[in-house]
Parts: sequence; C-alpha cells; structure tokens
Amino acid sequence: MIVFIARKVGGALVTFAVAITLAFLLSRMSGDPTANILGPFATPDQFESLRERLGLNDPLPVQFLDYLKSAFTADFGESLQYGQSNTQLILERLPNTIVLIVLAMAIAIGIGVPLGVVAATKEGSAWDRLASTVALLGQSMPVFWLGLMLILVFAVNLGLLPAGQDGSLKHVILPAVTLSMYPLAQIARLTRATMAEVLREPYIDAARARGLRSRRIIGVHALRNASMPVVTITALQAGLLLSGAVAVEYVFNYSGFGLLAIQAVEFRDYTLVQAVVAFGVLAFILLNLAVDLLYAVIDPRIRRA
Amino acid sequence: MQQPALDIKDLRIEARTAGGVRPLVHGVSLRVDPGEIVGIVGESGSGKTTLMRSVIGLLDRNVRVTAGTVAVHGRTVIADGVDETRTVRGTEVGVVFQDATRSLNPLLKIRTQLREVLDRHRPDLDDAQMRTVMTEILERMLIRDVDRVLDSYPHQLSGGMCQRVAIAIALIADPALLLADECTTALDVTTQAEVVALLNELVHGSNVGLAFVTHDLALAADLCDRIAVMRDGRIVELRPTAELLADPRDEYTRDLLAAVPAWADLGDGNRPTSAPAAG
Amino acid sequence: MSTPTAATEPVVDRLATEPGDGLATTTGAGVAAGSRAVLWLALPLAITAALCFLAPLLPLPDPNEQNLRNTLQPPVFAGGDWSHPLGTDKLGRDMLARLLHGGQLTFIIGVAGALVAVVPGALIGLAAGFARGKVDAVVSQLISAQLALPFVLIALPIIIARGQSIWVLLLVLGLTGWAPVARVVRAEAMSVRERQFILGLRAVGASGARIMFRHVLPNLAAVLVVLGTLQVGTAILIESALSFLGMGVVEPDMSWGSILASGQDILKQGWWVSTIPGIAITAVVLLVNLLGDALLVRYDPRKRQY
Repeated sequence: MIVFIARKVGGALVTFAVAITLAFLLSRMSGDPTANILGPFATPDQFESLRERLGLNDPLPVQFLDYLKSAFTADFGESLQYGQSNTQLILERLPNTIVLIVLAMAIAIGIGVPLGVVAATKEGSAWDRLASTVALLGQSMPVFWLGLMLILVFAVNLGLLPAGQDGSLKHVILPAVTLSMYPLAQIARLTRATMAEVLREPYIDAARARGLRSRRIIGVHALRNASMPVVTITALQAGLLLSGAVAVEYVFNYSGFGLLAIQAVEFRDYTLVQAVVAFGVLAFILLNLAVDLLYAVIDPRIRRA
Repeated sequence: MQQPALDIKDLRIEARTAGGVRPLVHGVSLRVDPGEIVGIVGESGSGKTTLMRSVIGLLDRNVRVTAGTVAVHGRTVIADGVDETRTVRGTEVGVVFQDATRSLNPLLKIRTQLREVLDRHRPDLDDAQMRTVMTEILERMLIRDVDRVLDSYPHQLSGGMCQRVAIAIALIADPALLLADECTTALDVTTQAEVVALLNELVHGSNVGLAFVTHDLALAADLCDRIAVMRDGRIVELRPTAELLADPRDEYTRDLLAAVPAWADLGDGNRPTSAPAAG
Repeated sequence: MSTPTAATEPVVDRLATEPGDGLATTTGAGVAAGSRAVLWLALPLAITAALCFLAPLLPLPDPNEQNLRNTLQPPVFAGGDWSHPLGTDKLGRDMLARLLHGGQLTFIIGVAGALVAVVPGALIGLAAGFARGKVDAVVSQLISAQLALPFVLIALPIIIARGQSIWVLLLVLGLTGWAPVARVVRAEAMSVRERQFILGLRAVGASGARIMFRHVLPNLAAVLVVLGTLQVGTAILIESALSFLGMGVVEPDMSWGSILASGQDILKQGWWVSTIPGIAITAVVLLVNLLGDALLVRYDPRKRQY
C-alpha cells in the first residue's frame, strides 16, 4: 500500500514537472510579451527595462531554471499591477474560489447522482430520455450566459439574491448554482450510464436472487461499483470547474482566484499570470492525485497493482 | 409425509416479443423431494433456465407465467392471481449460479456478502450468533481456512472456492430448496468433481431438495437421483437415473446418451447403471 | 392468469431488459432509424449555418450600422415592432442582422477549432498507439500533462503574450483539444493494431507508416467523425467564453460570444442583447452534441453512452 501511494505521488510530481514545463514553453514561445504589456506607445528603453525586469534577456535555460525555482518555492515575485507579492495575492483570493468550487461540486454530486440513479432504474422509459436530453442541455449551455440569466431573473427582476458581493453567504449561492450546472449534467449522465451497466452484471442478479432489498442492491452493491467512473469524471471536472470559475467569478464580480486571473490578463500583469498558471496546474494535479488514491480505497483490486 | 421442496404443476411460460407471443415452457410438471437431487438436462434454449428462474420470479420483463402452479415447501408461490416468488428468495429457496466469481460483488469482502444475507433473513440473530453461523456454514463447505476466506475479496479466491462460498450463501438461511443453474460449467474438471461431491454430501440425507440444471448428461448421471430431460420447453422424459440410462424411452434421450463421448466407447452394455448412493 | 402489477414489483425487478430495445441495433430497422436521427439533427444545423453565411444577401440592415436614436428597442415579442424583429442593442444596431452575421465567425471558429484539435490529436494518438514503446510512453506523459492544463490556464499565458486575435483563439482551441482526441485515438489504434489483418500485413513486411495510414486510419474514421463533431461544440463554447471575457473575438468582428458580452451591463434595460445570442449558442451546441451522439449510435452501438 505504501509502495502504491509512493508511486502515485511520484507520478504526480512528474506530471507536475512536465505540465509546468509545457506552461513555460507556451508563454515563452508566444514571443516577446513586452509589446503587448506596454502597448504601442512605449519607448525602446521602456521595453528594454521591462525585459530586464522580467528576466527575458537571460538565455532560455536560465529562464527555465528560474521558473522552476519559483514554481517549487512558490515565489513568483511581485505583481506588475499591485506591487504586492504574487503568491500573497493568490493566497488571499484562493479560499473564496475554493468555497465556490466545493459548493458547486456538492450541488452537482448531491443532485446529479440521485438523478442518474433514478434515470438508470427507469432505463429506456420516456422519463429517461427526457432526463438525458435535459442533462445534455446543461452541457450545451455557456456557463457565463447561465450566470447572466440567473442574475436577470433572481437579482434584477425578483430581487431575491444579491448579484454582487455583500459579504454574506448569500452571494455565493447564485455563482455556485451557475458553476454546478455543467458538472451536474455530466455527473447525472455518467451515473446513469454506469449504473445501467452495473445493474446488468451477474452479481446484481445474484443479489436479487438472494432476496436482498432493492434499496440495498442499488445503494450498496450497484452504487459502489458504479462510483468509480463518476469519481474519475469528478477529477476531470476540476479542470472545467476552474475554467468555469473564472467565467462565473467575472460575471458575478466574485473576488476569487478566477477574477484575479482575468484582471491579470486585462492589465497585462505578466508575472501574476505566470503565478496563476502555476498554481492552477498544481491544484489540478493535486486533485487528480487525491482521486487516484480514492480509487484505491473504493476498489480493492487496484491496491495490489 | 414431508412436503416436497418443489412442486411444479403444468407450468406455462410465454415471452412477448416484437414478433408476437412465443411459448418458452409448455405445461411442465416436476417435483423435488427433500433430500433428493433432481437433474434437469437440456440444451440451451430448452427452457430449463427459464423454468428455474420462474420459481423465484426473476424472469425478463417481457416474460410471463400464464398457467400452472408452483409450490415451495408446501407453500404456493405461483398460482392464478398469486405471486409470492419475491418472498421465497433467499429464505425458502437458495440459488447457485454458473460463474461464482461473477455472482459475487468484486468490491465487497466475503464476510460482508454472507453477513448481508443473514441481516436480511435472520434478523433475530445477534452479532455473535451470526459469526458462528457464518463460520459453521463455511466449514460445512469443507473450507479449512475460514477466517482467511471471510476476509478475502472474490478475486483473491479460486473458482472452486468462490463456488463453495456461493453455495454457502445459498444455504445460509436454511432453505428448503436449492436451485443450481449450470453451477459447475465454469469450473475445470477436477474442481467440478469436488463441487459435485460436496453437493452430494450436503443434500442427500438432509431436508433440502436440489434441482440441478445442466447441459451435461454425464454430470447429471453422476449426481442426480432422478433426471428430467427437457427439450423445447417440454419435459420429454422424467425418470430415476438408473432407469433412464438403462432404458431410455424417448428418442431425444437416446440421442443425448449416444452423444456422451466417454460412454460411446463403452457400448450399450457398459454404460453406468447405478444411481448415486443415498444417505 | 393474472400477474403482479408493476406497482407491486420492486424497482430492481423491472431492470431486466427486453430483447431488442432502443435505437441502436445492427438490424435494418435500427440502422435506418439511426440514419434518420442523424439527418434530422444535421438538417437544422445546416440550415442555420446557411442562413448565417447567406446573411449578406438577405434583406437585412447593416449589422454595424449604428443608430443612436434607436437604441435598445425590444424584440417584436416583447413590445417592439417588425422593423427590428429581435430588437436593437445599445448602439442601435439591428440584433437580427448581428445575430446572423455573428453566426459566421461562430461556425467558422467552431469548425476550424475542431479541425485544429482533431487532426494533430489523431496523428499523435495514432503514432503513439501504433508505435508503442518509448514513443508511446513519452506521448502518454504529454497527454496527461496537457490534460492537467484547463483551457483557461492555456489561454492566459498565450493571450498575455500575444494579445488576442483569431489566430490566438485557434491556437488555444488546438492546444486544449488535441489531448482528449489523442487519448481516444491512441486507445483505438492500440486495439486495431492487434487485429488479425494487421498482424498479417506486418508479417509480409508492409511498412509501419503504410499500415498506419492505409489500414488502421480508415477503421478510426467513425471515431474521428464523432470526436470532431463533439469538438465543434466544445470549440464554440470556448470561443464564446473567451470572446465574452474580451479575450477572443472583439469589435469590429462579431461572434455570438462577443455580442453576448456587449449586453452584460444592460441586463435590466436590454436583456435581449445577451439572452438571444445565448439561446443561439445553446441551441447549436445542443444540436451538435445530439448529432455527435447520434453518429456514435449509428456507427458504433457498443459505445452508446447517453
């Protein structure tokens, strides 16, 4: 078991290193950013001093090592806009985004899984087809548009929930509901598909023959076996949720990591963007690692691999 | 006079398909007494599995019983207007399936899978009593390392061991009837012989009746007291094993006998004629 | 003989499937139904696209023509009149004309974005799945790493360096989309590789590249078409999101995402400016997703996945 965990953590480190390298290459290969940062009216001197400051005149390997160093020591220098430590800025906003994402996932799983289970038990019926199409609708809708529509209905017209920040927990509700829609739809569809498959397995048939109650068969036998693909998808959701969080925070002016990222790009805050990307990658990989380990808890067959 | 473990009278079962109504079982009658092993032999499509599954009501959505009665341990479970098949599952009737490893949940320990059946059917027992029952039944299956087996997952056990566990689960709530559907087909020859020997010992001399479904006539001859030969939804011959082997009356039965490779060599006069020992 | 009613059967007992249910069968009737589904979904998409690309020929106002005396007219179904059936935006521009013209970029970027992801993804996946060994190990690691980067984290560094343009948009779409495609193609290639006829070809000495392109690739055609179709939907959603954030399509170009963006600060007074393009995006992406699913069902019933 220890070996298994060590292997997984090692793998995550490798993936992190590779992803970070890719991110580095992406930003460097896009050419000289100073033109975009300073705009067309800056002088050559200003370009040069910015280049110096960002370390862009150093040979590429040196830049890469610097970048790796900042990634592993979590020190990305100061933001060009705010003058504060980038890491500091991120850590201030991160908790808000975490709250948002956790709440959204809770909604997505809390509603999506039961929906999928019910649809699977009614497989092939008209209700099932309807639910599937509605779920597909949820995955076809642009998340930022849903946010705007919810603002329109609940905040503007009905005045029920705040559109912006008002310091209370109420202002997380609309953003969380908006963010939850896509993962909810995907989880519902996937749960339905895997449940339907699992319910056709021989051991389910045997469980019925043994006289076990439907509730136990579905709740314990079927759900446990069907949960693995759902857990995988949940990990993949993390990436989408991060992108979604960016759009949702922007629409609701929610002061989190995502909004910070957008503002960084808007204001051409080069160093902050680097920091944001590195943090984002780390978060995503950590999440995948957690899922991999969770797998081993659920499915004993994996543990001895 | 004891009640028969299984008493099927004139059972008719139909399937409703897109192309119309298709009869699967045409008025079959069959009785299994306690302590007796009755073999149901036939090819795939003969209706033997459908017959078995109807007793516990596990038929496909489009398949219906249309006539006849079924009684388990004297209690009517299927009759006109009556369907009590759900209530006998696991209690009066235990089922052993073909592929034991796949009839056990791969994500749960054996202990859990035994325990949940006890929880469901013997809630009167307390924890200690349940543990005793579980250990005892596995020992009856001639399993030596009971604790290790209880702590294992299905994939950690051999096919033969899984099948013993499956039989244990089927018998744990003291059913009157045991249904075995091709339960040795997925096993190798040696293990097959072991399981057959186990069933022999478990059933003969007990008050459980066993209906043993198989396509393998030689296997049935080895184990069963009586054999019912099924073809196209009908029982074409139902007689004590010795008589069936010595003097088959139906042409289909004769064909089946002739098709057994080992016996073909021996010639008519050398075919096994003795019934398995009882008691 | 009466049988128990559905109400008395516990849920679990109703799970046994009937033979021959569902659309996806390999019988003639199933195939015909599958093809019909594909047609019924592709048709509205084709018509919508046609309308958008033929927009310049239609009797519509200039989508860029501003009319500051006619701003924020509601659509005809919300109190407006037929001179502007879908209303006008805050600069008085006709929404119907903008919608149809804007659809051009949406469709173009959608399809181009899908191609830019599927073609490299397929080639890389094919090479990895077929060649195996070291090539595969490296590529697999790349794929995992790429999948670890959500599209936002890819878009940001590029956009901040390059500014935003349609080329950057396509680059982002390509970089986000190739990895999932490569992963699927790799798996398929690996399984096709082991089929008898391929082993036979290799036994007679046919070269790797030749086998890959002439024999393995055609077997993947169905998978690629489905992946491509679904990728169009993803591309449209990503483009809309980036345009909405000001990082994609910007004035004077228009796409449904950018039109949507122009309406966000006037939700109360001019809700249609954001609502209508959003409905358009949702409808098109929904049709595309249904089409992808229908294609999957039609050409490979085993993989059907609601």
